[in-house]
Amino acid sequence: MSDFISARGIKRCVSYLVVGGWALFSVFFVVWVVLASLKRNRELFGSPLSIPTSPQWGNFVKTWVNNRFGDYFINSLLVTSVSVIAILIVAVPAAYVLSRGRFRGREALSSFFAFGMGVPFPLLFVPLFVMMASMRLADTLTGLTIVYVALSIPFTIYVLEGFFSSLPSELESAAIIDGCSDVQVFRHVMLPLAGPGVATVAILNFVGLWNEYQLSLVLINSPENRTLSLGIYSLITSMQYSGGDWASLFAGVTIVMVPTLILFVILSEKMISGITMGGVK
Amino acid sequence: MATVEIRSLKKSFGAATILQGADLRMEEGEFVVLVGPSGCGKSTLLRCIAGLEPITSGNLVIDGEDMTTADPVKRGIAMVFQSYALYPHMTVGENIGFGLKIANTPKAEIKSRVAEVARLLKLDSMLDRKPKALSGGQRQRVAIGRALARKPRIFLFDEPLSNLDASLRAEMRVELAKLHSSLGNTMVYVTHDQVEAMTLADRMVVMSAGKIEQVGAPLELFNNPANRFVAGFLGQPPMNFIKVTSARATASGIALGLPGGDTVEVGLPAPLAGNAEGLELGVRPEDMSIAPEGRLKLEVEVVEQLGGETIVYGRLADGQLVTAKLAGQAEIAGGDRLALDFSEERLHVFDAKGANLRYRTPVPHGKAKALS
Repeated sequence: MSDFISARGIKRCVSYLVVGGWALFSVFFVVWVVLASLKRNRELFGSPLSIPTSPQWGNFVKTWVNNRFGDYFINSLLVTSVSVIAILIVAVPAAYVLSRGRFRGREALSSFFAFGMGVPFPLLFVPLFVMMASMRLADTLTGLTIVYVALSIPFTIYVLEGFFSSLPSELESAAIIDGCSDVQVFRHVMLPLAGPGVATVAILNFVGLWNEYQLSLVLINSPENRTLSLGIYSLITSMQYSGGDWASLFAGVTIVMVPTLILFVILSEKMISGITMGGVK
Repeated sequence: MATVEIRSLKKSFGAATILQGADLRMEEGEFVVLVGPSGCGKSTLLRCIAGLEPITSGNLVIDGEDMTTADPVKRGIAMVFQSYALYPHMTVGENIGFGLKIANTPKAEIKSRVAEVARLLKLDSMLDRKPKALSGGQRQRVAIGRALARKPRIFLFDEPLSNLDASLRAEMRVELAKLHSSLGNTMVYVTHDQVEAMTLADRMVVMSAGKIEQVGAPLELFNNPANRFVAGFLGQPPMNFIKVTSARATASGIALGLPGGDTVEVGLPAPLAGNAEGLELGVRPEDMSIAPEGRLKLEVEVVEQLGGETIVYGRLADGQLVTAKLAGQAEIAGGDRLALDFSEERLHVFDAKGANLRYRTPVPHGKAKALS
């Protein structure tokens, strides 16, 4: 018994060490980037680990205005938000029907969506660009949004399908007995219960699309349509010519991080319960 | 209140036939209990009545109207599920009033109806709580409340007490019986618990392997089972089935040979004599008593002292297992030899196909009868 307890204790210790170390590592770099964004370039290289004595909020103003991060931020926010909303509008009902509906070809359709997750994005660059160009949607935020929605649907449906399957079917039966139509069962009973699952896929998609770089690089050319990830890249490129304004770069990185951090703070509890619920299944 | 008629109802899932043509009529205000072992099709039959499962063939008629393909809501039914199936994101009040809300009932009416139901089920103080903050018994009452609120014609219960502990189950059983007598609605209740079935039912429907084996009042089924399955299913401990060694004609019937050499004479037609193959004697454990001249000689293996009664497990001369339920606290121990006797009037004799040869066809009474 004591052997068992000590073995379990060691396992737990190792887990805490690994998770704690990983968390410290991540937090250290996030904090370091934020602190670096408030320093002068000279201070940044002179004492990289110090706390800024006089915070340089001007770095943020410079990045926001001079480097057009304000425009990129709005572009990113618009594209990501609209994409996530559209993904949820399409994927949530689809996942519900695929997990609970009784119709011929349901399993084939589910497998088809799962297959979509396996297609590597780089394989799609050329056909997507050609398609978007032929529809005059290349180099537009609308085009980018459509591509984001289309490519995120398989993963979202896959996750939500498992989530809906884990909900007890007796609740559906109870709702039907209470007089609900199929749409009402979904709207009044299953959708509210799937809240944690929906929050999970919303946050995963938001973070994924907010940080997405490759597709936007292929589909967006004009500076006014750039998203934040392209903006960061253009800032790095410009530093080759204008000398290294690292503080502004870190200010840019901080601006990129803020929305995802806020989202995590607001939705992390729901997201964790969503992930655990899916895990039970 | 409503009548429910099931005519040759069959239900299949793909190649698997779950219900093999059920015929049953339930009268207005009757409490009918569908009982049987797991997998016998009783829940499927209930779900077919509810409209949750499409009927493969046959008809379902409610109040004279064919409801075979009607939507659940048009059938005028309410159902209480085994897991309660309360909506976890809604409060008790919202759960009870949900059906009315879906039916677009005015808010004021929903409020008063919810209050009325809550008062009846003593849930008034919990209307703002979520189901997770309730005990098992309270959840069950909310589930019943949700069914009551819509004023259905028929109540369906799918093993509603099986998740409760023994004492709460007994309490809820009494509550349900009271509810039925106060409301007077037709109720169909599924259970595998024969105590629930015996105590609640006006009529019991014993099912096995997708078929209705027998329909009747609880005591009628207990005292006069149509076949070996019904006889063995009802009663705890179950009926003893003792293979007879011979069957010989006598002046008043047939003398059946018992293991150990004794005989028992039963009033059966003489043509049955001569062939003892497959014949079994059915004796209920509680119909046995210790008697010096007892015809069943038993070697005791295990004794269970329950205080008010003693249950004795043992073997007959040929090794057949027998259980006896004796009144009071008997001084018996493993290894003892006992002579048991039984009341001949309460004996049953089953043929090789399991039919009860002493089955008396019941006189149909006014309230209800099986169509089959």
